[in-house]
Amino acid sequence: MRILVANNAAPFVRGGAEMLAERLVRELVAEGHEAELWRLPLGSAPDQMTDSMIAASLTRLEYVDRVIGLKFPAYLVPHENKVIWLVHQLRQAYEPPPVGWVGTASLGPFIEAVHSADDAAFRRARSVYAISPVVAERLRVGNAVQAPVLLTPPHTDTAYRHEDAEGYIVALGRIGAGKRQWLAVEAMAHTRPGFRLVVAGPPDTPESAAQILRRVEQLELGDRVEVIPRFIDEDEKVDLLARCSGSVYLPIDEDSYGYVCYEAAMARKPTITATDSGGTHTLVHHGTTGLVVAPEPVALADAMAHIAANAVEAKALGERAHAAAVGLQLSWERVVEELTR
Amino acid sequence: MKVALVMPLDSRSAIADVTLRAVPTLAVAWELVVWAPRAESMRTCPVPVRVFDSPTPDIVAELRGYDLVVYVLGDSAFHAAILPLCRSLPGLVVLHDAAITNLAVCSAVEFGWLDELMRHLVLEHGPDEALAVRDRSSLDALQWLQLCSRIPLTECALDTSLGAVVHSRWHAAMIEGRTLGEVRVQELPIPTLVRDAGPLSDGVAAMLSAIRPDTVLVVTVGHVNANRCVDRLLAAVGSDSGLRDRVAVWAVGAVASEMRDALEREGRRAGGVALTLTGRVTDGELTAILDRADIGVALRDPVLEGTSASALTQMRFGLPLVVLDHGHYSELPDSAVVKVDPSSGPGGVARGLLRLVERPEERVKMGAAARRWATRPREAADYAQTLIDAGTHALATRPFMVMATETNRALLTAGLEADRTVVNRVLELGEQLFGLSADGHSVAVTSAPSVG
Amino acid sequence: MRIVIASTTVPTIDGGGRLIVRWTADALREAGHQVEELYLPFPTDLRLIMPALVGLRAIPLGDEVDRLVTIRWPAHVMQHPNKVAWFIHHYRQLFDLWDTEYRGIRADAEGVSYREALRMADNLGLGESRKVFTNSDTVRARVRKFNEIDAETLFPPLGGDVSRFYTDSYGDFVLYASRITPIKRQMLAVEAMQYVTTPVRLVLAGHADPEQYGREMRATVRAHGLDERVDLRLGWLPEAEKIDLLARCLAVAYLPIDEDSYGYPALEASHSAKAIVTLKDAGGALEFVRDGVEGFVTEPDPRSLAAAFDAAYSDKKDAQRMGEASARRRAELNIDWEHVVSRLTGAGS
Repeated sequence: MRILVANNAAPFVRGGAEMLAERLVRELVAEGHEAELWRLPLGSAPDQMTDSMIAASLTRLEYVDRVIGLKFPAYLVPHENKVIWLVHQLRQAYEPPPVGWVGTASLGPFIEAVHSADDAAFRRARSVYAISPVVAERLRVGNAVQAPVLLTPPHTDTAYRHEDAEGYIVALGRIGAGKRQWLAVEAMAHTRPGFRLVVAGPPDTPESAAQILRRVEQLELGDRVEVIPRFIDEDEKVDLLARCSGSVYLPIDEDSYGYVCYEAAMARKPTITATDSGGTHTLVHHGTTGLVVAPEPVALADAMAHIAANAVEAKALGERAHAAAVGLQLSWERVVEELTR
Repeated sequence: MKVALVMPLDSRSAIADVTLRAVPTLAVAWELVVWAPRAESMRTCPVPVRVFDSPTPDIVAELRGYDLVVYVLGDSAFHAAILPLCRSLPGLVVLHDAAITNLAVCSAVEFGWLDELMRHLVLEHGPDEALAVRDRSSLDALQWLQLCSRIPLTECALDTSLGAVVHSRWHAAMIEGRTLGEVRVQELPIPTLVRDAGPLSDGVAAMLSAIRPDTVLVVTVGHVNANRCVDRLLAAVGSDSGLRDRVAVWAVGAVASEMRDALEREGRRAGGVALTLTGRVTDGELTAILDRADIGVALRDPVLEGTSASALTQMRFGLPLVVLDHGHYSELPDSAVVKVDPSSGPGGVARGLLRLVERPEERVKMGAAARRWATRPREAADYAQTLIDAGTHALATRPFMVMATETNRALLTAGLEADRTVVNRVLELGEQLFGLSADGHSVAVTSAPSVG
Repeated sequence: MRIVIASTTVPTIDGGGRLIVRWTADALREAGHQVEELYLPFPTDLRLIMPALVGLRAIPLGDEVDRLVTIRWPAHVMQHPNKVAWFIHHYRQLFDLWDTEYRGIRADAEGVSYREALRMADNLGLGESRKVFTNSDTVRARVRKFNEIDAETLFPPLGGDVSRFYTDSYGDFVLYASRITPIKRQMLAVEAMQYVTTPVRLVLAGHADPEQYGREMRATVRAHGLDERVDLRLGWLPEAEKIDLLARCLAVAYLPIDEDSYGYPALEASHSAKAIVTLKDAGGALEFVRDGVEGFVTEPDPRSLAAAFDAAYSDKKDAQRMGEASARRRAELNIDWEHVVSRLTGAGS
């Protein structure tokens, strides 16, 4: 088939969704399809977003057998053979504040229009999938659409290693306010010496890194907390995971299962996550494959100490985490098969 | 250029007659085929004719094969099968009547688009008016005509048109902005009136010979409808003894029996006005009557037709006219026509009549001016040329119609057709790119009209 | 600068138009700019084009973008306060092909109306640009004629690592490596081989489109008994093989009819220091090749072409001289990425 993958774009910003879209195109091509990626700028203000909706709706495709739409408003493009693999709706039009926009006199009609366009797109699509249970739930609540979950496989195919724990908990992922690495740092102030915390990942902004480093200094944790504020390549990541006692990942209301949790699980290591971390609960079940605790320093401290001190239990959790990760059956073959059926 | 001219060929249709006069000239410029709804008695036509029964999708598909389709519309059942085609396939519309309410309703009922018409009426005029249109039994004849004046429904024909041809500047002003293309005005060719078509019936011959030579014969010509204000004329004549004594009023044309009774009552009530209702007459009889007549009266309120063929016919016979000063009647020359303030009631009409009744030399002078006006060259060839030019311009409008249709469809598919901001923004961008005037009408979102 | 390069595509078809976008983006990045490439689907059917133009113009680019560079028609209708257009060609059927058999629609009031509508849109998009560049003098003249706008010619260089091209020798064959399709007139070269008097050979290489044309060509070669003289390599030509052929050929033939630009084959010949044989009605190639200087420009008939092939074979020293001139021609015309980057980022900013 001749397939167009439709994604939105924010010029010069490259994130998980961009990598996902590119990977999907490569996988479709590998499966013998002719596939291309279309990236449509979304804009950042309501008037720009309205323009983007218009751009998508007035785009006419020729010689395309199927469209796979990932994000708003690109998935609005008209096509009689459209499958939506929903990565993102425009959350500002659905969530309550502060994420959501308030329906003022000017914004009200815009929000209405987004709902109307989404409803039409979901209704007309040949099928609709969600990339995670969280996204599926939002779809159900916001648009009364029941979409099966088709989880996104990781972007890269990495071979994970597993070695004996060397007495540290690792916090991977972009360093920023949304991922709350600072909470893990605070927690370390409530623990007794015996294990370390390694925070490793590219900072969202220089300030994100500076804040963490400052706090480590203030709490006098310099000998127990190591911060590596830069991009971590695959080899380094595999190595950090292989030798850790466990991983800690504390996002707020994550959309999906969390690649960090998946990667730790594939390295047969347990993950500690928070009760409000959202999608991470897909893989992290308290007491079975990891620990789920309140997002407070004391509770986290207990959890981290527990993992660090109980190697046998940690190993068992890690093994079950691995089984759970494998059990998700994340594979690009499955994804391509579903989306091209 | 292959052109389909969709028009009635029914022998009873005056519009058929006047349009056929233009056909020979059209056939020189165009590779022309006439498409006509089937009728019991059909006029002959100098170009090939395709007769059809019903506006089906197959007919539309065939018409799509032409470079241009021209639709001739008037407010009568003769055009009922034509209107749905006009709505399905954009073309050039020749519009004879300012209101096509009767046409729309009868077409919608006969060819199955009444639901759609009702939805449109409710949206544009509210549920009460919509019901009144559908169930007109609650209205008397005049109320119905007044409703037609309020709700002319010309958008049903013009929304999907590539251009329009009408026959008076007044009508053109009424429909401005209703068509994506151009509106052209061209006077209708003079209607054919065969002078010696057979003998007069005994009745008409008798009525004519009964008129005294010094009686001023005042005529109204045409189907006696409620908007012809015959009652106002009778009241005017009855209000002045001078008029009553000297004037005979003849209403020449088909008249329904209730209308006949009502008018005869009115005539008596107005003080014994000498009223004659001839009923339908032949061309020859009409000629004889107009030869004898002294004054023509053409009072219309509301004005529902685009131009008046009957007024022109009377003027051709050298009759000065009394008309109401509105609609296309205002465009008639003051040298030939007495224009009465529409709000002045019977009194105004009486004053207008008196001017002509009491001053024979004025009558003669104005009558001569009327004859000159009505016999100005108003060739069928000129009319045809206007249609040809309008056709060329309609072709040039087609890209914009395609754009409007495609854009409508895209917005509907996207669920965005109701958002004012979106629609305005699309119009704005279209204007920047192509200089389209940002008229809400041109991209007004209507659901695709269905055919039969 | 943060630059967006926007171009239109027909998804899954016409991949060739993307090369110039990618190469330009690479050159800009190499010069230190941040570049985003946008490939926007756009229809070819005339009836779909006007609403699609509205959609294209609606695409929002805010002040996170310092400059917008637009390439393939009609990307220039996109809005941005700091826009430059590198214009390649119009919607040809309505403009430069209007008076030819390729118009494709009738020249009646409707056709003229479409043309004027697209002209208005082009005038708007190009008129808003800080600067309009064209890929050749030919197109610059068209922009002047159809849009009354003064553009600057900015010749597109070859991208990628051009050091991959080299000169090995001036052999015994003329090479014509290009998509094998009627508009490129490979058949003319085959016909010409009937009339050559020297041992010069011809190598034709490329993907045949339509396939039928390739089969016809093979049949023609066979019919004229030219199997020994004409090496017909149908199918996608791998880059390495092309470079090798270029390195060893006597000269390069490039025989399209009325193209807007000199074409990448002419540049490939130049990078390999080979003379170029082309035709008087080839269009943009004549901006690169001057008869007797960078190669041969002959009448578009088989005998004249044969004469050119023979002349190259008979005087290889001269063929080499012209090849070296062809190599120098790029510098003369500023066909290099530094110049492109400088013009695309400099003009009007």
